[in-house]
Amino acid sequence: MMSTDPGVWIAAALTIFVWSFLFKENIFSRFAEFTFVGMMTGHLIVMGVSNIRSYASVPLSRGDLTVIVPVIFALMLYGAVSRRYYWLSRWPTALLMGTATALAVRGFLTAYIVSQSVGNINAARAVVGPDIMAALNSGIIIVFSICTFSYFLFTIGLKGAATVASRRIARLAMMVAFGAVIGNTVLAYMTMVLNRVIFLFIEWLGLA
Amino acid sequence: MKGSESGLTAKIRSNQPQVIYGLLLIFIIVPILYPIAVPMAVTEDTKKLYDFVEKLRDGSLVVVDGGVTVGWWPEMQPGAAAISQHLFNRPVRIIFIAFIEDTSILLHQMLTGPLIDKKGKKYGVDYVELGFMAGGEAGMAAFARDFHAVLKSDYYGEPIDTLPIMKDAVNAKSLALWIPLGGWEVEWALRQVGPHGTPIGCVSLAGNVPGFKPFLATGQLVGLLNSVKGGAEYEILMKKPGLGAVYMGGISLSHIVTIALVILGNVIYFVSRGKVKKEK
Repeated sequence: MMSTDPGVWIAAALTIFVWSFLFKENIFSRFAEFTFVGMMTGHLIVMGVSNIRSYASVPLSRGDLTVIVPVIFALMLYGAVSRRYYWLSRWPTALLMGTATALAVRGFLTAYIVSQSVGNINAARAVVGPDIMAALNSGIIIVFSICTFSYFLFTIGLKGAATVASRRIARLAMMVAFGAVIGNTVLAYMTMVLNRVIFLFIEWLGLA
Repeated sequence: MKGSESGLTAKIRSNQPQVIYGLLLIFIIVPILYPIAVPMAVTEDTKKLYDFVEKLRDGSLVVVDGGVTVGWWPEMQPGAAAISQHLFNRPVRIIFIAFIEDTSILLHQMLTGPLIDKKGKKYGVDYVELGFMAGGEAGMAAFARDFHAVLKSDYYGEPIDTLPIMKDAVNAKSLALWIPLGGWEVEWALRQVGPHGTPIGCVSLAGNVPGFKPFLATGQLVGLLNSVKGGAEYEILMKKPGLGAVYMGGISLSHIVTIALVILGNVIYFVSRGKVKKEK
């Protein structure tokens, strides 16, 4: 049975408006696009105000003075809107960038460098293990990893048969990886189309 | 080159987008209206996560951390619903949190909608919605270090210190499993939660899956659901086909069309290239 919920009808109309773009850009597709942008902006503003309330004004009103420094830094960010006080925004921006970089680097070292190096060492162990398939798999991982890393070493020359062969293997490895990403990306986009088709045919039209 | 083409190949090339959209829509709509059973094998990555959840001790604390914007939710929903349902089936306690603005609402909709049967579990005792936590990766790092220091209230505005579930939930070390849903969210968890020694199992966006495979090999991820397909596989393991199974019919057929189109595109390219060479 066809839905009688006005919300479902609005969502269905907006979905069709967006899809009309596939035929040609038109006023309906633009309307849907602008509506979405407007709603997301509104949502982000609401969430922003809610964050200021929960992380700043409420603790301050309860006498929690530990938030004063972050609040001052946050206010300094608004200096960016004035030519005269632009310099004020540099300090909190530098602090944000420094914190984010430090956090990323700290995690990166353990998660990406140390653990992955250990993983490669374990793969090397499997090469000489009794399981032939595991040995082959590990061999491929090790060769592909080394060749791909060496591909991005720009300081050494490109002469020599070994270097050329290594670069070819690296390109092959990367093409395989890109292929896997593309295949999965197709899966992602099909899912989105399916989601809307399921909504239109089941939730809106009640056909299945 | 296009000018020298004639006949069918030129016609197909000039009408490419509409032909592709039309074909794909047909092959997506048909299995929705007339569901088809798609044979599907459960991958080792999905099985690992299922087994890990099955083996969780009674009363264990698990974080389900949502990290996708609304546009990507269709990819996450089947896997998120399946694994959340599995957690509700088990005698474990669940903490839902979002580090992306949209996801707190999406998780709330999922938990209050028909996809999840809470099996009589009590809010605040067996599960809690902590809502949105600001700060992105830095926010996650701070939360993992001390839940109570950075988050004062839950989704409904109740102080978290009054909730029984949060008395045992102190930091990432209190957890038996952390399940990020998304793409970059998984990377944040690997960088900021992994170092605490908390096991991580994820529901990943399809495009990110190849990048996460090395983390499965090293055990940094205890299991992984690959987007909708992973969700459908998880439903098979739970013996309860749901949203993922609905998706898989359309996805399988549309992928066959995509493969056929890739082959056709290459054939047309080589045929037209051959013709141009002959003309020269």
